[in-house]
Amino acid sequence: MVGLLALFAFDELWKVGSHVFYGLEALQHRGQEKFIVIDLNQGKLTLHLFNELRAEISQHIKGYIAIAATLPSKSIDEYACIVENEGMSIGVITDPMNSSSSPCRIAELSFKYLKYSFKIPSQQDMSNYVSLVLRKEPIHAAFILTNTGTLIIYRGINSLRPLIIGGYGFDMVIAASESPAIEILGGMIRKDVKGGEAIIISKHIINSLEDNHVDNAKLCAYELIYLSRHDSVFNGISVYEFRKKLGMKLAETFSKDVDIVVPVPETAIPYAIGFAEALNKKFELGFVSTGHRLRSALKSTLMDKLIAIQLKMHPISSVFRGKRVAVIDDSMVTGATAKTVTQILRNKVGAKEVHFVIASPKIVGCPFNMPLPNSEELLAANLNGDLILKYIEADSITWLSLEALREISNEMNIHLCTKCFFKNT
Amino acid sequence: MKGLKILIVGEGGREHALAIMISRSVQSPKLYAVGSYVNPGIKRIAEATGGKFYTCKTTDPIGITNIAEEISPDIIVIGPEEPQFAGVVDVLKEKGFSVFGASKRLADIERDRVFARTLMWKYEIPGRLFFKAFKNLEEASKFAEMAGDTVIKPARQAGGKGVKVVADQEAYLTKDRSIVKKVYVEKLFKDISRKYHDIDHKIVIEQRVEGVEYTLMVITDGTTVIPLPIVQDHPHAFEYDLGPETGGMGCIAGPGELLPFIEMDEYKRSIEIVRKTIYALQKESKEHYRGAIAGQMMLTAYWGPTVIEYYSRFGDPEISALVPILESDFVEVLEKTVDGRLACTKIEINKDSAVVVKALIPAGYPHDRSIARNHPISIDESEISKHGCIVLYAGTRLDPDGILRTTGSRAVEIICTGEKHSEASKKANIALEKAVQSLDGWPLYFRKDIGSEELLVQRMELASIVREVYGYRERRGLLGASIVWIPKKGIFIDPLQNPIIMR
Repeated sequence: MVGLLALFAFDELWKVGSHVFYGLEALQHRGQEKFIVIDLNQGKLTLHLFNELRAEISQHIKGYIAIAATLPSKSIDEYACIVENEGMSIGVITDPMNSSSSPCRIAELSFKYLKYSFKIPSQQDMSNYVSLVLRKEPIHAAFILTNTGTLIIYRGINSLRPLIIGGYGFDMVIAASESPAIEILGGMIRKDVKGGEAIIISKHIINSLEDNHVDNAKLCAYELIYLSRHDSVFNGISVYEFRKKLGMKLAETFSKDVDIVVPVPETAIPYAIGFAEALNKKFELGFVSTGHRLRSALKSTLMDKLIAIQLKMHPISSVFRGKRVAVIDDSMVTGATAKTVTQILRNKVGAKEVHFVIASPKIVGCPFNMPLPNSEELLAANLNGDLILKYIEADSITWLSLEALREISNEMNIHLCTKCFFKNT
Repeated sequence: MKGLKILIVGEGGREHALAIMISRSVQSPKLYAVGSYVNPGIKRIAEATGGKFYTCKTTDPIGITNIAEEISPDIIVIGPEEPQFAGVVDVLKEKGFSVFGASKRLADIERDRVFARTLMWKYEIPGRLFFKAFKNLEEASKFAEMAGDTVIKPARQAGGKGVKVVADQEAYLTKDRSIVKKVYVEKLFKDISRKYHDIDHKIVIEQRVEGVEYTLMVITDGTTVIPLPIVQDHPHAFEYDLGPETGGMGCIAGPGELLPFIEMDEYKRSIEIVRKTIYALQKESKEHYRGAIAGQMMLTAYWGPTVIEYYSRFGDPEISALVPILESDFVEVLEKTVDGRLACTKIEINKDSAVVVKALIPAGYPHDRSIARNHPISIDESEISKHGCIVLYAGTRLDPDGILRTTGSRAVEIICTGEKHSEASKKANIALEKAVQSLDGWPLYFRKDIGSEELLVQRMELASIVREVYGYRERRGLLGASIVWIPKKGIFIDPLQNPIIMR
């Protein structure tokens, strides 16, 4: 659950500082607790750590190659490490699957394979490196950068998160967790990295190692439902279209009569568009956010979550007064958003009925380091349907069924990981 | 009947391709060749036809003339551009030889980018781009910093090297790109000033366009222009169109004269552009163009078919794509060209085959050739034939010790055919993988993706978007036009038009 970014300029004239800043900006919805950058300048790797993403950070990054990440946690040890050994240094940034992976261990084990005598690694060395080092780590992805200018972009064999490679003209390779980060930097999308594939980039060669790779690797359902930007494209599949389709599918099982359809800002908008279109009901913009985009589900404390929810949901009263409202949200995690919404709609603006429509099945837990609370804090894992309804004070709640989710993913050729919808996994 | 004798000047993959096509003629010509190093492929063909391979610097008019006088060939074919720039054709013609290839003055269409661009503006040839040429470093660097979305090129053709494309459509990254452009201009200016003394301007800064690139090669005797099939080169060094610009990592052609992403009307427009350029060039130089000329084209939203640059010769590796599909007698075409009798000639091709050409490079090419050269390699030709493919020797020289070594450029080309490009591409991958080995462990590289369905689909998608836009612009009378409105100052049509006076 890290926003990863790598920039590799073939010409040392480039300084990638601004690219790092705007690239991380495009990914900060994946975590904004810390921002980390390792850049290569004049044969030296430097690790930079920022608490906030501000334009000034670009002035600190003077290298022509950089790897960077937006982190969901304040501790960096499980995400990044630089190790030096006999004049050579190797920097690693990872997106771990669980706490047993270690960026420092990856860096240490990398020396043996990346210390090649030619300026270019041999195919055999790289094959061994992938199978004996990278494949052994429980990671979604890793970027490995040497101070000799070799960059390795690796997507874990069991990874549930996408990794995309793009190019900027003849001058740069850009890799990122999501495609918009590449396009925002002026790049063109070139390739989705396969599960288990490593791409070795040096000034003189780009080689892909994909022995025993996974062609259509599983993608995390939560990634598609909530985490990704609407404008992301994975393997040619548009996240926006996927979300809209789920919204349309939801309308098929929705039996209440409503006057208007309103999304909870901002992730739920495409679902609501699809839902309203299929139901032939009016789509209304019901809420206006204050401040910059806040991802309430990613906030770790209840107080932070509440602040984020309240700030993004100031209602437009005239939309709701006396209306029967279908409120669409992408998921229900703790129920805090839903409860806040019903209170606003009923008490503040006088809506007549509030029907919740959730564009995912009930989330009960995740074994893969997703930014979800523990099972004890997940509403659907603890309360039954009737109790949820009473707690939230809604007139009805409609969930997307697992079958419907699978139907749409199959239709779009997406291989989904759905473990968060099952108990005891 | 006296046996026909043909001399090829040049030693690369292109000349090897020409040698194969010449050697197939029903006239069974004796083939002679002269190159600056021994190309084993050309040498073998020459010897098999009763000819000979000579070594001599190909930019040395006297040396080449001496060899020509020794052989006394009926036709001399000049492969590369540098011998043309050095006046080899002019000296040979003075001595009475029939030469297929541009004279020094005509070859300015490639050598001198300012001349080529200016010619297009003077004769209002469609597909022309805005540009500015610089003799002064300070002006160039100031302009580069300000100019935005541009391409920086040496004003003189420098073996395809030195071109920097700086796409700049994101205002928030403009500052960083400006610095790169400025520093690059300074470096390039010094480089060109040091290396070349046959040019006034040092640097050209051009309007950048985007779209689908393709090459249109034609053969002309100065009156008749015979187009060859469209070929698409792949300039990025690495797979998925990543990495630095090269002389071309391989190309695709066919089936027929078009490619799946170029329409007949666009082909015809491209031919018109090249034809108009040849006529304009002849008018300026008062010489007949007898040889090959190629338009490095791009289908852009701005113009439709647009000229990126001209080559005063066959494209390399583009001409290789013709080898498996040419059905006409190539020698007959050469004869008619040098005699000025091309009218009514047609070049017949096999229209059923898709062709894929791939180049194999030693790691280090294109930017660090010093580490890419002198590596011993082995090539198993029977393995290549087994897959129905043809091998061309390019940057591979046969040393006196009998060992093949890389010269630092593209080492070998392979040409394969199939019903579809993807089929030909797969054949090429297997053949190259099995047949070419590095003998000292130095990494060799080729692009597996050239000819793949995936790349073709990308090109088709891009072409269809571009086609929509230039269609719209054409209907509105905006083709090749740019309109700028500066508040309080007024509206400017084509504000960048560059009125450089013709020499």
